[in-house]
Amino acid sequence: MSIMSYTGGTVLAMAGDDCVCIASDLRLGEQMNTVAVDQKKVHKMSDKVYVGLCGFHSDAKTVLDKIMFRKNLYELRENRSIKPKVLATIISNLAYQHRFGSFFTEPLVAGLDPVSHKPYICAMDTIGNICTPEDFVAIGTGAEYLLGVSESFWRKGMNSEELFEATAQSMLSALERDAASGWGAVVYTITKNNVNIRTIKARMD
Amino acid sequence: MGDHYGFSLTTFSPSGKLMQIEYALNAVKNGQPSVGLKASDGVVLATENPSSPLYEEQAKIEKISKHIGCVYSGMGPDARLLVKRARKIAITYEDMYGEEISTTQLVTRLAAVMQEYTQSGGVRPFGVSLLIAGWDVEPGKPLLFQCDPSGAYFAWKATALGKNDTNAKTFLEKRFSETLELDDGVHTSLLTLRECFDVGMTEDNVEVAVCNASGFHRLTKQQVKDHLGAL
Amino acid sequence: MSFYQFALIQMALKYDAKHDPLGAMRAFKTAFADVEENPDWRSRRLIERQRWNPYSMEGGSTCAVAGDNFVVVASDTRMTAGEINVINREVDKIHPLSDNIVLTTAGFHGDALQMRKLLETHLHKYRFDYRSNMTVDLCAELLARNLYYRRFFPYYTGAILAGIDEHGKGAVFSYDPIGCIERLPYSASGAAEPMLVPFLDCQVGHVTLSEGTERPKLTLERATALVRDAFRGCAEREITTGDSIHLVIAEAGKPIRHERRKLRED
Repeated sequence: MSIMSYTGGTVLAMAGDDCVCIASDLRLGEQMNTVAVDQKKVHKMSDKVYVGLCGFHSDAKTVLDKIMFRKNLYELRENRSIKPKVLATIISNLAYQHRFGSFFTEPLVAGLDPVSHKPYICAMDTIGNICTPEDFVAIGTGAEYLLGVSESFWRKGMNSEELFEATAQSMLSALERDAASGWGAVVYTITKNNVNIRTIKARMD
Repeated sequence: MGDHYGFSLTTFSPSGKLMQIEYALNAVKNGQPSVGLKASDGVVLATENPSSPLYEEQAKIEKISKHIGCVYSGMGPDARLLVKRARKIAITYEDMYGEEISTTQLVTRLAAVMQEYTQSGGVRPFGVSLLIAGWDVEPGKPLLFQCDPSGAYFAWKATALGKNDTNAKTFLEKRFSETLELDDGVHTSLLTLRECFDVGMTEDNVEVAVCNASGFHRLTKQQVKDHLGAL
Repeated sequence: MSFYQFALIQMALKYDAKHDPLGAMRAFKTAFADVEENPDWRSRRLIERQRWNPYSMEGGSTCAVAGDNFVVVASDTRMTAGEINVINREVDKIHPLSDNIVLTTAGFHGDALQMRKLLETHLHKYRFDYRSNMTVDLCAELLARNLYYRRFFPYYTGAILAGIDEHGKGAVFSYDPIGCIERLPYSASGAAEPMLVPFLDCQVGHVTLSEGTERPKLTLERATALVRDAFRGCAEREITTGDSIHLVIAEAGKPIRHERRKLRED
């Protein structure tokens, strides 16, 4: 069993028309044991920017601290709220600085640009190679399961409700098959005016 | 730059002044004049760059990043070092954050370098003042800063450095208007520069650059000539 | 001791330079050949890895959906070597074995062909012995046993056996390489299995719908449309799956139908 699937967990982000959705499961495990059932893998960075961290949970927490540090420093220095793209570059650099002893975590960034409200989603590998598709990105143990369903659910120009539905359905279908993720999911729907947080039930096992 | 050794030359005088910095400012005052002016849709930098039929020309106005550039009055070699540092700051920032450095950030960081040279051992302050012109893509506005040897920096609407800068500033106070557009800005800057000139202005001894939404550009000789012709 | 030194010492024992002056040259030549084959820098682990592997993977995916009186079997037609080289774009990975039995495979194509041959032989023999066609349930059990028979040198395939059972209902049997068998309403196998299965879970199994919600009926049209969508999705993401979809539709009391659709060309 690889270290990347030791604690389990999955995060999915989808982009719509002036909105993005980011969803994470709630399970935290130690290989086959479930140790927590309320562990969100999505973290708020600023009003409309969220980060998802999958992989080895201890590393994910450390990386989150490091991201918070850099992001806070940036916001203090520049006196403006961070853009998702800038945050992604910061995280990518952070990850690559540990090129030969990397953190076992794959970061994902989803959010709206604080000024232009343009949606931004990206995921990267453990050493910070950013991938910025226009439709959706998935990381974690259920990423492969998600790619198949999301490919069928995603449509161009979805509004926030449609986007939530697509994200939730994809997530539920993937959690059905991924034993390392589950115990429901939490979906953040980020729009220009508000962020809607909904918890959905899935197989609770 | 923590590896300077020896003892600080910049020592306080009993009256609380740092004489080295005052002297550095004198070096600036003796330098060739330069003018900076903020128009409504861009910034203009203009300077004297005397030419001779004998030597190759070397630019005094330098580009730092796509939307930022600077000009100096004072000691050329010192300025070139600062430009080198400024470019490094800009590129490092771009690598780190994935977008161009904002003008304020660049100025703050460059000023920090200049300040370091007033407090480190074995070095002297820079003998230059810089005029840094930039265009901030977000929210899309022109910026003009002056950076002094002490590390102090000021935001200006229009200003002048170097020889006869007091005359030039008085002139600017009379002629400057915030509604100026870039072309009129170039015109006003050249008129201001003429105040400080001892000789006639030609395209060979005047250097002009503009900075607007499309980036920082130095004007070609022909363009300078056209502007001078319209004075 | 390096291979080179080892070889030299070995060779050195075998000749006497006085009586056999050419021996030294021969020894050198052999030693040199040996070093070329097993250079110093190649560790034991690397030598191990370079040993011949009886298996290879040709990629591709396949799936089957059972309905009330039909079964839809689908597969892509791409064959790859080493996950990136396409070696054939029009391979049939679905093998109709009789009027009501369809075998579909993914994995090692060599084993798949062998497996088909084996089942065909058995079916042929059964026809002679009992003067009737084998039912799909029986064939499914036969395949399971043949797979487990090779427990320690298995057929490297993810097989799915589909067909119409004796009650006229669609049947799908799913296997692992060593013969673990399960009858399912739908199944997928191959490289894109992790992408196909959640989609079928959602659309055919309706696992994401809450209880009491109306579920659309699984008609033949819906099943074929879903399978096509599923393959379009995974051809987008899984590189060894692509080129075109081969659909085989078996309906109770009707002959088997084939359908082919192009997938995106890349």
